[in-house]
Amino acid sequence: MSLSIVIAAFSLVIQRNYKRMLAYSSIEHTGLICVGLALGPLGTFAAMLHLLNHTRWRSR
Amino acid sequence: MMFFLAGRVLHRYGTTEISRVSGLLQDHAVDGGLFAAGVLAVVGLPPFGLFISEFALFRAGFAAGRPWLMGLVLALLAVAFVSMIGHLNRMLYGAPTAGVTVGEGSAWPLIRSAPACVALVVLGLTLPAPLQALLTRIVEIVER
Repeated sequence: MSLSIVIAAFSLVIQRNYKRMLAYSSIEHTGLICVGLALGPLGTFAAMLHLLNHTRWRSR
Repeated sequence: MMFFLAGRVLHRYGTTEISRVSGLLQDHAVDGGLFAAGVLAVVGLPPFGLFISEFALFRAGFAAGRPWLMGLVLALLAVAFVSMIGHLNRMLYGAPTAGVTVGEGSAWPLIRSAPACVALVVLGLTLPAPLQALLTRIVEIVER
């Protein structure tokens, strides 16, 4: 689950394309949501809130 | 909001290469400003909702007794933070790109991402009671 954060974080470092940069940051945040879901009730709450925030950020 | 803005930048500059976009803030102040705000939001700076939810997530992680996992995730977020701020810096400042029309065509189409912007800031400042009830219900269902 945190593998997607690892891949996304290092892909962001070498990124030369701004649309891909945004896409990789979405992958990173998806990894973060998965980590949250593994952390019990408090983590699930935070993950759901993060999901909502991130979809608002991504789409209009 | 962000992919819409990225599309607008692509339309202006005709490229998705970070190195070929510069002086965004000078040429297109509204687009550039919103793009900067969006990137600052996604790297987890207040007053946006993403800051609050990331903070809650880390608090949950430490409360669940997983300091090493959270430390690793925090380090990776720091890597993402530095690289994204660096890319943003290259796009916003510098000499304006030659051959690009200076000034915004019209900033009005951006009004359609206003609800997303408002929602992000509002969620960064407060958690409305109905939303909290909804999230608590989701947690009850998931943890059953």
